[in-house]
Amino acid sequence: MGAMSRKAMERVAPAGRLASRLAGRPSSRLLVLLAFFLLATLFVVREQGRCRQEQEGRIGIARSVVASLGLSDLALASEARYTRHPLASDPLVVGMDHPGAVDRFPSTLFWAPPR
Amino acid sequence: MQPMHPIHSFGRIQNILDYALSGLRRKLLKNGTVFAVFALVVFLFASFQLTNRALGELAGRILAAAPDITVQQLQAGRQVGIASDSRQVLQAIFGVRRVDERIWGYYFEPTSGANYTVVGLAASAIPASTSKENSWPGPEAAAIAGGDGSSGRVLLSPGVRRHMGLGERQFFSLYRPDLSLVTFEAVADFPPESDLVTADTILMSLADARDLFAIPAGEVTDLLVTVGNPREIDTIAGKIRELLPGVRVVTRNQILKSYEVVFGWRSGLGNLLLLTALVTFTILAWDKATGLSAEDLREMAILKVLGWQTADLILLRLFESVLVAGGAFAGGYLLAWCHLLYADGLLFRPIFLGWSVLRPTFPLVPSLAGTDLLAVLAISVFPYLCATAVPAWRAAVVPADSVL
Repeated sequence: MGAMSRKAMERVAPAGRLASRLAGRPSSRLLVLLAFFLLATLFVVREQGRCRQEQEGRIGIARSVVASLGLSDLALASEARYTRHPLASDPLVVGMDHPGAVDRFPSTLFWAPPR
Repeated sequence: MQPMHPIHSFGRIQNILDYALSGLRRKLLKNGTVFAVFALVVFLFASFQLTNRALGELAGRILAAAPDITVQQLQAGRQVGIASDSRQVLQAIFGVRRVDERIWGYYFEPTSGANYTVVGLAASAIPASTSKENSWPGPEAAAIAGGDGSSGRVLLSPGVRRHMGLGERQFFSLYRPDLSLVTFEAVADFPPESDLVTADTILMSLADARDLFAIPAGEVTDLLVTVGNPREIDTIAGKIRELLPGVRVVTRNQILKSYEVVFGWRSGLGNLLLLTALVTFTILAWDKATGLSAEDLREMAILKVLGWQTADLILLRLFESVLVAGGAFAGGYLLAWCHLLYADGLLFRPIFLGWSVLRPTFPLVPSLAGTDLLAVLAISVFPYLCATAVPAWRAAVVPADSVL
């Protein structure tokens, strides 16, 4: 038993020494951190792939609704007609209340005017 | 000078990296602050950009099925109804396959402030139901397409049903302009998957929409033109402009291009606001990186006395900067992806939805684009590395005896 454990220890010792040497170095800890980061990234990328697949089905249905009803705009912001239908509403509708009117809806602040 | 053996060279680099990491740890508070602010700036920029791209891609792919040509009548710069007779003029154009009339408009619900979009289509315009997977319409659309007359049957989005508080009830009433009531039967809902285009939509027959909005006979809101050969769309659009004076002709390409602009991440105030965050960060980074303290200079001088070369010292500073900037960039970008995947773009979604009462539900999926990555790198990592390069060089070339 004693001889066995000594042999085993001899086999393990270099690996253990290497491990303890690596563990002591900050760059080794950085390597471990990088490995964790890579694993997390892989996990997130896999999740993205799954969501993308799910989205394909949704897009197919939305496209056939658009084709059937002849829709031209997204129902993203229905607060005003020029945010609901930027392309199918009056071309000069932003600031329509009076000349130089400041647009009051937040979503239009972040949207470029349609061309 | 003998070239260094690769193993020795690796050992040297590893030693310098170890020293850089220990140095970062020694000044944990200072470096931790820069790292956290840096990661936050990257996260904000990347999240905004990813949300924009995700929405832009969705818009592009969904609206690729938009009508070939939409024809509207303008009068004094405003859209008015177009004469139904124009349909015959359009149908006579060579290459036009079909022309559909459509009445649509907004129904404002004053109690809640919600705007419903009411779409009225002739029965012949609604395609026959299909059993194909991921396709619409199913059998429910046939219910409103029973005939060209007034059927009183409508299709609702699940959001409108919820908002009206209909529950399982089928009947509801809307007001005509003269405040008389018209009753509708909600026979089915739009699929939740199409929420991004139908979140506020009520679909009914053309006659019902005409009745609800009190639109005179012989007038519709717009005409949808289907062209046989997609290559001829622009030519036919030009012909329509010549034949019908004062009309606005919107082609599918224009729709797609406009949405590209609408969601182009460079446009809009969002980036301007984020730019402020970037400038603040640059000032912070500059301040932290350029401020060479006496302690820093002393450390450099001691290292030089111990035999470190100028190149080693510059490499040490470079490692420190790359570790902070690279780590913050990678962490911030990954967080931005998680923000879209797990929190549905919680931070920036309200900006795009605005003050809408009826909000569509749709998942946002981030995508990896080299240009986006480069853009975020260029506005975050690159300025930081530049800000730290000069002080690194200044510290490295300082004579040891003048400091000690």
